Amino acid sequence: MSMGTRTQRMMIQGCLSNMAEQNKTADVKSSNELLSPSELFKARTRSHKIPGRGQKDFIPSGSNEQEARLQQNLEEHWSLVLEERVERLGNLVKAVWIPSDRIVELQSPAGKFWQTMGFSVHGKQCLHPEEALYLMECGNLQVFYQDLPLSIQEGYERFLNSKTMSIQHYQVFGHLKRLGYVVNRFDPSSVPSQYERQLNIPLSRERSGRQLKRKRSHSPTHRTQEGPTTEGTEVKDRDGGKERMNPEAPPDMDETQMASQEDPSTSAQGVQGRSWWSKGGTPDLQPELPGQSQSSGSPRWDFRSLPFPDLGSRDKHRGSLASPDPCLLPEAVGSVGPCDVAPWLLRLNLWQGRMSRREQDQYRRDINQDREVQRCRNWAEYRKLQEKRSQLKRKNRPAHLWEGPVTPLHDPAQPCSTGELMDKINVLKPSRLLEGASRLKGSDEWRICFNVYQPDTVAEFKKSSPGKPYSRMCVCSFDGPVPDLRTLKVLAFQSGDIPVTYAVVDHGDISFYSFKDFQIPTDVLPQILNDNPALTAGLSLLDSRVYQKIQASGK
Amino acid sequence: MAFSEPNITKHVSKEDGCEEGIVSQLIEISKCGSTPLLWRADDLKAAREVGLVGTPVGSLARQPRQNIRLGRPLELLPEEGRLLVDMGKAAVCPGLDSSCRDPKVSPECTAVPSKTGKQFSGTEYLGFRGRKMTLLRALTEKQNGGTRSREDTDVEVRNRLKALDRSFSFPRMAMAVQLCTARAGLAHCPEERQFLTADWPLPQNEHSESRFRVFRDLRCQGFYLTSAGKFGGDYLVYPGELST
Repeated sequence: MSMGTRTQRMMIQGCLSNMAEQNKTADVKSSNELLSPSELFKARTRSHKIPGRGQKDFIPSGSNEQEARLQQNLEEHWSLVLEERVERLGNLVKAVWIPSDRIVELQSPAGKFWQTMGFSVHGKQCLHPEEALYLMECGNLQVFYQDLPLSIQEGYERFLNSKTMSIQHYQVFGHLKRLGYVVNRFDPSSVPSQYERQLNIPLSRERSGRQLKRKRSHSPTHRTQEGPTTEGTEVKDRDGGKERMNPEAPPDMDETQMASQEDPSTSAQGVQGRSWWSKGGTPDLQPELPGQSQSSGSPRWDFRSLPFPDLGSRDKHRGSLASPDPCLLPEAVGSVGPCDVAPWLLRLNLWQGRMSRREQDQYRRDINQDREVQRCRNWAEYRKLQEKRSQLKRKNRPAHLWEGPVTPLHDPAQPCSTGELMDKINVLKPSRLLEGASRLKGSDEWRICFNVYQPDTVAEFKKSSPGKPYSRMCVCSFDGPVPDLRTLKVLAFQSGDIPVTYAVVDHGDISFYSFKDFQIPTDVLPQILNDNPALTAGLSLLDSRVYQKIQASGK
Repeated sequence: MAFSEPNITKHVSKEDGCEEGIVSQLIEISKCGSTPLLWRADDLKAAREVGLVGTPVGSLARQPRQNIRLGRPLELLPEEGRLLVDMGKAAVCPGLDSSCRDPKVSPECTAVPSKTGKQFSGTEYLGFRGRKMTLLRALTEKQNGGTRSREDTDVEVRNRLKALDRSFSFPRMAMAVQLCTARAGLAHCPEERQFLTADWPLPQNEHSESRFRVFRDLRCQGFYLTSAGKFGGDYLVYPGELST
């Protein structure tokens, strides 16, 4: 019987509460979004599906049917927006907001989110405000302050008023979290210092310069593989590997730096070696190799000063090459004897290609066949002739170009390599993102905010050893200034081998940008140049001989 | 408390009576940093009726872990917020950092625990009633079927019904709790609101002033505007109502 009274009592209570509810909603309607018990009870079993919206719904056709559909869409939209979060108490983690430390301390055991979020202080589980707010929005966490649960609005107002964690930051954080990424705060001290980075760099040949510089491998196998043994290989072989590296990379790596330090000496020895090799009888060897770019900065190996033995010239060669200078060889090897090239020569294809007449004209314009030159009896006369010829050339030049105080940068009569030409006209030097970045001081205005890890790593993600982030985020806004080159450099350097992404928030809309090094292609076909020699000004990377050829054919 | 609370509501209702028109329409803009946000669903609707679009930036209550559809709060462009205030349709709620915030905590203090308690007892009762209804339905169905052979099961159901009446306890852990989106509590009466309302900050530079003028002009011509930073512009202008 006591049941009956209890029920009755409850009924009355329910009615009373409903009445009070109605009263209040009538009075202070605008501020009251608390659900009534019956609404709460209903919400427990509501569906978790979002009504879809088809693309076609938006094309106006003016029909009544469409009107109705739009109306229905709109209603669904409002009902979705109106919906309040309702969770079972058992699924909620309780926490307390501690404003003095700007952290949220958990009061009940953390849920699954603890794998990727939160940290422990003095044995207590804590969350950063942005993490807490995200979990509140997900309906996993209930945060109390002064014994009262905070609404989402209060969470926004209390958690996001610091400069380091503004609403823009939170929007980026939430956006990435909702996409499944693991996001945590970026701690500048967690990035290995310049020195640490130096110690960890393996010399990897497969990688291009920048990646090589940035690579920070922890795997020991990699290191032993690419370790000191590599140093012991042939010098020439190393050239090939080194060539690909960025010559202007900041000197913050161990082995490359070592290499660059020994570079002058080796190249000096290379020059020494030139006379040594040319003993072999190839004095007029064109030392420049095609493919050596001038515009990519000063090359590590100056191939114009590094001669190679010309085994292909048929007139004179000896059966063997003298042994290389022992100082060029690794210590373990010691001295090697002279190299017998005779078996190699047998394998060489020494067939002499035939050139067309025009080509012959271009290549074999022997100065001695020139009649005027033949008439010269001594050097003085020859020089006079040269002078006369150049004067004649100058006469052809338009006076308004060449007589004024400002003359053209390049005299078209003067043959020069494209590389030189590029150097002449280079007003803006190409720059790499990390060039000189180590010397720049960071500013307070710009900083990296988040580490971002890819969603597929969530399963084995460990907060204690998160590994290398997929990317790092810098949050900025379209209202604010655009990051300048200095900022880009500083942040890229600070981030080390991890790319920095700029998340630009535009009133709730987020766009992601990143900056990457790239090179403008410089290869060009000679035919194009033949057709239009003026193009050479804009392009680089041509053998000087080719360029001379063009000059000759142009005349 | 139980005594003082109706008092307050009465007082408020009187005030509402004379100025109801204004109070019901006033949109509450809350500022997070310098970003104007709308929190209450009514405000969102009202802003939309005026033709301001805004951007929803919060997680959707129903499915929080996706980016396709977002929910409250609605972020307004600064121009939208200023236009609303200029039109007299909105009031800016002072931020939390202002000192006059603290005394206002007290009414919430009293209101919220009593409400959550009420919610709990209410759900408990509803849970109880739900369970009872199922059992009763089972009973009536049995009776309607009229199968004598199942008399014993009938008794069993009756016994369970009695047991339920005697010792029904709704597990507290299973109780549904609402995580409020907007700040709960009593609204400020108009005077208070007037007093608390912060002025819309004057634009700091000429650019934002001209932005606002362009925005106002286009909006007055009936266009719908959203931000267009992504496209390198200031606004995207739509000729008609955006369907959703």
